[in-house]
Amino acid sequence: MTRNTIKIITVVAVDAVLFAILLLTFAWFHHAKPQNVTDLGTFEFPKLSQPPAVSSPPVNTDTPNETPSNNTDTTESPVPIESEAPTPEPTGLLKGKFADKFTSGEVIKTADTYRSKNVCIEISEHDMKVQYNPVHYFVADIYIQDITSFRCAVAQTSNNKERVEVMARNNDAIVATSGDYFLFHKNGLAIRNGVLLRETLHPDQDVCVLYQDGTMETYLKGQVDLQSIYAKLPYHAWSFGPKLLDNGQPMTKFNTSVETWNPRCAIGYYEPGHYCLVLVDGRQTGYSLGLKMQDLSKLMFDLGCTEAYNLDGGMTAMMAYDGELISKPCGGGRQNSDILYIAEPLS
Amino acid sequence: MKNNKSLRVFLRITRILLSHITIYFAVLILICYFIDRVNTAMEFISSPLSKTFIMILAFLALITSVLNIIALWHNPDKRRERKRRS
Repeated sequence: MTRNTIKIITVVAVDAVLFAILLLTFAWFHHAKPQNVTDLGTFEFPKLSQPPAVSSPPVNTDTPNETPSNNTDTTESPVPIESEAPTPEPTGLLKGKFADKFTSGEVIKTADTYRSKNVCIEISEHDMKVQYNPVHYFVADIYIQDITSFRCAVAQTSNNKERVEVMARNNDAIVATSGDYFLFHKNGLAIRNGVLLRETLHPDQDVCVLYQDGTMETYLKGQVDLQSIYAKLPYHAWSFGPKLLDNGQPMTKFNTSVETWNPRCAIGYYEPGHYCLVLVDGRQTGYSLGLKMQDLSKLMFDLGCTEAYNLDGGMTAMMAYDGELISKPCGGGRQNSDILYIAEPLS
Repeated sequence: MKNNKSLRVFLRITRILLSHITIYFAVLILICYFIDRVNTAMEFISSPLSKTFIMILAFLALITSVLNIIALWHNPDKRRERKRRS
């Protein structure tokens, strides 16, 4: 080996090392470092202890000043929104429907069902074929009497990442799925448990909002009106997407670049108090290929949902029941920044 | 004369270093561009950090190019060639 060749190899090696350092630095600051999210204000929280005055939902569109402003000044302390609006009946989301799903007070828990006075969850596993490949997915059919049963949680570790089943156990979740990974995204509306955490909209993402009256709406990118969302008192808002149903019908075009077969996680809405969480395993030949976005849209339609929204998929997509992982994520899954979960309502 | 030589050495080293750094940033931006096509939601090209990196690349390319032009202008072989022609 000539001296010149050694010199070239040394230069290339040094270049490779320095480039790797630059790449890792970029990756850390771009998407590996948790983003700072600050409590920007709290939407009126359902007051469970108060008896209902009327059965109407607590939408108060006549008081625009009581909604959080568009001001992104994070130094402002959160101001709880006071409202004289009537509060919903604690057990009133389903308005008496599906009474047979609930118990009179006792908790009945089996390997795939959970029933109590306020919550009913039925988990089922399904198989289907996509282009001669098997696809395995889980559906958690959820009935809740109170919106506070549908909660979100974020990882409580120093790096803001935890596995779904660990977060589920820490929060006494009955069933939990991965969320929208919002702590590691710079943009995207984020409202969790009635608290506004970020209101910068992502230019390429659809938005899903679960309101305190139990209704869920999905919005295409560019059609999100924050003030109208705030006026209807949101309980959660997720930014990932895409929106999967258009007026209850399956869609063929989506606001996403990840349309191919992948593990998927989606939330579906039937009516106030009745939802489903769908977890599709994928990237595992012979077990489950995963679904294309179009297939997922069709699946949510077949399940009877009127609104549906895709959450973070891939290795992140995981579902836990009773504190244990029930799905089979590719590569064993990975840690996530946040979960959606169902639990007994807040007292 | 000695100062002039030191300056030339300094400029030569700077030019070489800047060329390498420009390559790093250029490859990084190319990677971001292709990943962004796969997953636009991650904002590999449109995030503020990526824009900063693109700006740094532009500055580096500018400085490297100017230094290269100066170096080529002062290239002894070319200078001799110019003198011979004139």
